[in-house]
Amino acid sequence: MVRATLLSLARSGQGLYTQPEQHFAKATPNKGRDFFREVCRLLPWTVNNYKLNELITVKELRSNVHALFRQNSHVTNPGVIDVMIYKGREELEMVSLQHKQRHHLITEYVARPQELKRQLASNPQGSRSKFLESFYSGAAGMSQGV
Amino acid sequence: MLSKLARTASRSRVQQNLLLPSILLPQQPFQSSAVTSQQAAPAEDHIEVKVNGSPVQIPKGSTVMQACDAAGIDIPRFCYHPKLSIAGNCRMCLVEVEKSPKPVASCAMPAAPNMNIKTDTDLVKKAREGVMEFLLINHPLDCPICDQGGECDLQEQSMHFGSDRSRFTEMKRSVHDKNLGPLVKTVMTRCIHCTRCVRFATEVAGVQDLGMVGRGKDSEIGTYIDKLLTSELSGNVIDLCPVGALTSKPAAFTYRNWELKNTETIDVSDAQGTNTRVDSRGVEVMRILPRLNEDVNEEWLSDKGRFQYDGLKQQRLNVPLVKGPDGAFAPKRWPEALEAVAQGLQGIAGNEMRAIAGKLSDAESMVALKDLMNKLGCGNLTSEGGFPDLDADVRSNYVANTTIRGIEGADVILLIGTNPRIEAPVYNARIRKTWLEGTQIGLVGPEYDLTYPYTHLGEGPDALAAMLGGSDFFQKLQEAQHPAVVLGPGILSRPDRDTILQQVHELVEKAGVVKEDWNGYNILHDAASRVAALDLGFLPSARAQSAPKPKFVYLLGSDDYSEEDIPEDAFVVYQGTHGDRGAPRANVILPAAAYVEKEGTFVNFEGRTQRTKAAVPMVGDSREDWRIIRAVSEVVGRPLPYDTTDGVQKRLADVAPHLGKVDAVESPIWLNGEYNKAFAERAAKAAEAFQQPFSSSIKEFFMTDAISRSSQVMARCIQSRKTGHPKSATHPGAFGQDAAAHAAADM
Amino acid sequence: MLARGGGKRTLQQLRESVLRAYAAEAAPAAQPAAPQPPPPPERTHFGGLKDQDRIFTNLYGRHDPFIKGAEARGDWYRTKDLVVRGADWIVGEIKKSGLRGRGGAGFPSGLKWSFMPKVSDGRPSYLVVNADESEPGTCKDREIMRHDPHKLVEGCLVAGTAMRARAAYIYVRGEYYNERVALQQAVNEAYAKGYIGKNACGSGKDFDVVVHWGAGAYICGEETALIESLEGKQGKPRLKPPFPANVGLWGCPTTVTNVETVAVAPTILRRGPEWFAGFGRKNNHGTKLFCISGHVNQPVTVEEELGISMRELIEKHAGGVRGGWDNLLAVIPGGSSCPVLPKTVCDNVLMDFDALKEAQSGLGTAAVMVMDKSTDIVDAIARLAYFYKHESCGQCTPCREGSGWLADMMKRMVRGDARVEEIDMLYEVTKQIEGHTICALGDAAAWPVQGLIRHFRGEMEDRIGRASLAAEQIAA
Repeated sequence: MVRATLLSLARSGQGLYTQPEQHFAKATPNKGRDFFREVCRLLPWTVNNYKLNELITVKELRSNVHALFRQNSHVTNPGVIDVMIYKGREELEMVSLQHKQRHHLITEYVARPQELKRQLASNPQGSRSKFLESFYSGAAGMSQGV
Repeated sequence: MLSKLARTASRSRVQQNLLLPSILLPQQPFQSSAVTSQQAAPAEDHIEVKVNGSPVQIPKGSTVMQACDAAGIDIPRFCYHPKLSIAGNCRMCLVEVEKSPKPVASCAMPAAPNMNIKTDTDLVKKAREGVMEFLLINHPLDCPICDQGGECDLQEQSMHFGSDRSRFTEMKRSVHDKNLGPLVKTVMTRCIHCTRCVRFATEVAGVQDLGMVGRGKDSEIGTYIDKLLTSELSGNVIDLCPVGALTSKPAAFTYRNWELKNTETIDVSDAQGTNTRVDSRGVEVMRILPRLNEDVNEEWLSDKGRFQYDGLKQQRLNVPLVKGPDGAFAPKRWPEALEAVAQGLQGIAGNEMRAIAGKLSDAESMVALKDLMNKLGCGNLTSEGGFPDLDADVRSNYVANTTIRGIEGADVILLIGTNPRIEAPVYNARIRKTWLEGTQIGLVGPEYDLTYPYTHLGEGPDALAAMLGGSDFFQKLQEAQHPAVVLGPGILSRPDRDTILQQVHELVEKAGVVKEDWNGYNILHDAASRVAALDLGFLPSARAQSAPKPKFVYLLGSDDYSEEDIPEDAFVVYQGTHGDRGAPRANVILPAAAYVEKEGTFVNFEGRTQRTKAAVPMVGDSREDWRIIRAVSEVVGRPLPYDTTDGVQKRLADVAPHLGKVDAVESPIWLNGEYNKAFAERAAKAAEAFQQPFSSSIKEFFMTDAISRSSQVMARCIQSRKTGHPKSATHPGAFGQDAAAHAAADM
Repeated sequence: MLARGGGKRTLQQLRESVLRAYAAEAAPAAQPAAPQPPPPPERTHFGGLKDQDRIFTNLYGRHDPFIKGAEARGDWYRTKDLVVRGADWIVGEIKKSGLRGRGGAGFPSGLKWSFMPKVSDGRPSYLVVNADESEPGTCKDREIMRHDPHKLVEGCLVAGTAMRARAAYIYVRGEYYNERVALQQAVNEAYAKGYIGKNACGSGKDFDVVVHWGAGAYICGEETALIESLEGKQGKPRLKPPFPANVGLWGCPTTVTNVETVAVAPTILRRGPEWFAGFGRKNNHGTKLFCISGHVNQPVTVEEELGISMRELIEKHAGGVRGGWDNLLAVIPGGSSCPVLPKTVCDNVLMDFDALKEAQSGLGTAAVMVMDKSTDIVDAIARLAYFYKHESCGQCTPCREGSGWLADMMKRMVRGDARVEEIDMLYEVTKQIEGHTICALGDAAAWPVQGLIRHFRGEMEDRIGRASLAAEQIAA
C-alpha cells in the first residue's frame, strides 16, 4: 500500500513541466510544483528524524523525490493530478507524524529512485517498448504461477 | 501336450495368462442411462436391469457394479479398478441380487437381463459394515502420521460404514516393511491385500516382481526376496494403493494433501505428453500425478515424469550470467545481459549464425526463435537429436499415424530399432496391452526386455533386408488386417537413415501397412519438443548446408548438442533452466522457466497438441522462454511482432494450424508414397547402409534431460538398478539413516 | 462281519447283471410292456448293507489292489461297452441313480456332469478329480486310491466320457505319498493294457489320465483353488461365475469331482441305476463310505447305506462309543466344517444329506468324529478354528481377517478369559464371515463355532463364570 501511495505521490509531479489542458490553464500549472516544494521543505527534518543522514544527504534525497515526480510527467488529466496530490499529501502527513518506519523510507525514497535513475540513464531516449519495460521489471504480463 | 492343446484353443492371451473370461476384463466406460434413454429405442446390445427398483439400460456384458454406476448409485470398493483385472477379494462391493441367497460381489458378477439389484437393504448394509470391521481390525490407527491421510479410500469409507469404536481386543498383526527401491515406500501393516499393486505389476507393467506371500492372516504383499521393483512404471502403484501401504518415498512426510494446489498440465520427460497434475505448495512442486486420458496415457505416468521434480530445485539458473574476459561468469541484470547478447551478434552475418533447440523447448519459444533468426538472415536451425536434415515436408513421415490409442487395434506390430520400454514407457504398456489381447510383435534391433515376448528378427539393417526378401513375420504382416510398424528415434539419427527409411517404406508398401482406413506407420520420438520442432519447420534451410562455420550459436535449452555444432571460437548464448552441459560453454546465460513454471505448447509423438500450465512461480530472475527471445529481438533491433501469450500462440497457429487446436490430433494425410521417390534419390546419394546394429536413442532411462540429470532421486534409481538391490540406494536424509540402521540390523 | 466278498461269486453276479442290462437296452421294443409290479412298501429302516452290494470290495487292502486283483473284482469288464454308449446315456443313468456328489456339498452328479458343453467351441474339456482329501476326519479317498485305484481310473474314463472330456487330471493331496504311488501304478497298468490312452479300451476315443499332487494345502480341495494349483499358481479360489464348467482348467470347460463319486460310477452303470437308487431315502440314494474316528472302540472306514442311523453306524461298525453310548458327548457328523451335534440329536439322527441338514449340520464327507464326555468341547472347536485360520488362503477379507479373529477369541473362550456378551459377539462375527467370501472356506470356518454356541452355550458361560470367579478370588 505504501508503495502504491508513493507511486501516486510521484505521479503528481507532472505539473512541473507539462502544459496543462486549455480549460484548466489557470488552475493547474503550479499545483504539482507547489506540492513538490512543500515536500522539499520537510526533507531536512525527515533526514534528521529518520536518521537517514548516514545514507543520503538532503540534496540527494531531493533529487530522488524529483525523479519520482518525473515518473508521472505524462499525466495530463487534472482530476487525476488532484487525486495524486491528495494521496501524496496523505503520505507526507504519515511521514511527518512518524507513522512510517525508517526502512519504509529507505526502500521507497532511497533505494528505488536510485534504480529508477539508473534505468533512465541506460535508456535516455525512453525508446523501450512496454513489453521490454515489463520484461525487465519482471512484473506485468508474466504468467505467474502463484 | 494337453496343456498346449488347451492353450491354442483358448481365445485370448488374457484368459490364458490370467484365466479370466472376457466378462471379468474391465469394460470400456459407457454412457449413463440418462444419455442412453434419450435414444429412441434401447440398442440391441443393451439389457435392462433394475437397481433399487428403477430400470437401467446397460450394455451386454456389464457387471452389476457397472449397472449400479449407470444408475448413479455409488458402490464402495477397494480392489476393483477399471484398468485392472477383477479380483473380487475385498468384498466391500457386496450387493443383494434377488433370488440369490447370499450377497454377491458386484464387481465380478455379470448383470443378467431383468436382474433385480438392491443396494439399500439391511443385508447389504450389514455386509458392508461387516467387511469394513474386518478390514479395520488389523489396520493400524496411524492416520495422523500416514501420508495417505486425507485421500485414503479406507479412511473415507470407514466414515460411512465403520463403527465409531472397535470390538477387537486381540493383538493387531504386524508386518515387516518391504524395501521396493528408492521410489516406493511401504508400510505393510496398513495393507488391506486388495492386490491392485500385484495386478498392476503383472498385467500392466509386465514385471513379475510383486506377489502375495503367505496365507491367511499372515499374507503379505512383497517381492519374496528383497528385490527392486524394476519397472519404469512402478510409481503408479502408489496411486493405485487405496490405503497408505505404498506411498512415495521421495515425498515421504513432506506434505498433507489438502495443503496442495493442483495444476493440470502435461509431462515433458518423454514425447508421450502424459497428462499430469502438478501438486504444489507455495513455490515448491510437492508431487506429480497422472491424469486420466484414455487417448494418451490412460491412468499411468512413467517414473521419470513422476519423480524427477526434485531436479527442478537443483542446479537452477536464476540470474542472467555473462562470461567476463577472465572466463568467469558474473551475475548481471537483464538489460546488461541482453546488451551482451547484442554485442555478441555485432558484425556477424546471418549465415554465420546457428540456433539449436533442446529437448524441453516449447513450441512458443521455437517459433519465436525461428522468427528472430530468420529476421537476422539465419536459416541454420536444428533441434538436437542428431538428425538435422530430416525432411519435415510430409507430416505423416514423422508422427505416429496410428495414434497412441489406435495401436490397440493393431494385430501385428513390427518394432524397428526401438526400445519403447525406455523411450516411452507408457506407450510400451499400451503395446503390452495389445499383446495381451493376442497381437503378434516382432522386433528388429538389439534384444531388449520389453516386458512381453516378441519374435526377434535380427539386429541391424541386414535383418530388414532379409525380411523384405520374405520371411514368416513378413507374411504375418501381409496377412494382418491391421499391421503396424513402429520406428524408434535411434533410426533417425543414424547416418544411413535415408537408406533404412527407404527399406522401411518398401516394406510398408509391400505389406500393406497403410490401407484405406488404417495407417500403421509410426515414428516414436524420445523428446517432448521434437514433433513441434518439425511441425514448425525448425530445421536448417536449403542454403544452411553450404553455410560457413557459425560464429554465433543460440542454444535454446540445448544440452545434448554434438561438439561439432559449436566451433571453438563461436559466441554462445545459452537460454535454459539448469546449469547442465550447455551453460558452461556459453558466453551469456539467460535463465528461463521450466515446464512447471510456464504455459507452453507441446506436441506429442502422435501429433497431439497440448499445453502445460504454470504450477509454481519462476525461479529467481528467470523469464518465460519466448519472452526472452522477444526481448532479445528488441535489443538487437529486430523486434518480433507479438508481445503477449495470445499473440505468440496466434503466430503458432499461423505457422502450423493444428498447433492452435489443443488436445486434438489431426491425422495427417498419407503422402509418403510420393515422398518415397525423393527418398530414393537421397538414399542413392547417401553411403550404402553400414551394418551397425540398430540401437535405442536412450542409454539411461532415468537421465535424459537437464531436469532428470539434476535429480537426486533419478540418480538413486540408477544406482539401485546397477546393483539390482533396493538397499543399495538409501536416502541420505534422516529417514535414510533409519533405513541404513535397519539394513544393518537385518544383517 | 467285515468279510468283503471279492472272488468269483460277486464277479459272476456282476456279469449276469451287466448282461441283463445290456440285453434290455439292446432290444427295448421287443419287450412288451409288462404290468407294473406293485410298488414295494416304503422302507423305514436303512443300513446293514450286504456284502454283495458293496462297491468297494477291497477297501481294506486284503486283496491285490492292482490290475490282476482289480480285474478279478470286475473292474475294466467290458468298459468299452459303457464308453461307446456315449455321454448322454451315462449322464442319464447317473441321473436315474440319484447319485449325489461325495465331496461334501452333495450336488446331484448327473446334473453337474450335464453342465459340460455338448459341442466343443474348439476348447477341449477336462475332468479333474479332487483327491485332495484334507478335511480333518476324512479318510475315504485314500482307501480307494491305495487299495482300489483301478475303480478310480476306470471311473475317470467313464465320467470323462460323460463329460466329453479329453483327459482327466487327478489332483492328489501332497501328504498322500503311498496313495499317489499306488494310483500312478494303476494308471501305468491301465495305459499298458490299452484301457486308457489312445483308443481307450478300443472305444475309438483317446483319453489320458494324469496324476498330479499338491503341496498340502486344505484350500486346494476347493474346486477353483485346485484348478489354480494344477495350473501351477497359488491355490487361491477363483470368483464364480464363470463356473469351471464354462471356464476351468487352462480356460477350458472343466468339471471337478470327488474321488468317490468318480469311482462308483462304473459300478452304477454295470449294476444299473435302479440298484443304486434302491438304497437310502428319497433324494439320498446309494451307498457311502463313512469314516468313523474319535472316541470309538474301533475307528473304521466302512461302506454303508445312506440313511443308516448314526447310532447303528457307530455301534455296528466302530464297536460303539468308548464307555458306552451314554458316555457320548457330541458328534461332528461330516468332517470338521460341519456343526457339532449333541448326544440328544445323535440318538435319533439318520446319516444322510437331508436328515443332517434338518438337524442344522451336514453330511459333508461323512467323516463321523465321535467325542465322549472326557472331551473339552470348547477346546476341540477352538482347535478347528485355529485350523481354519491356518488354512485360510488370505485372498478375501472376511475369511482372512475373520478366521484369525475367531481363532483368537476361541482361544480365550477355552480359558474362560472373556465376557458373556462376547459369546454373542462371536456368533455375530461368524455371521459376518458366512456367505460373504469367495469360496466356502469362510462358511466352513464359521459353522463349527456356530454349532458350538448353538448346543454348548451353557458350557461356555459356565467356564467364563468359573474363570472370573477364580480371578476375583485371586484378587481378594
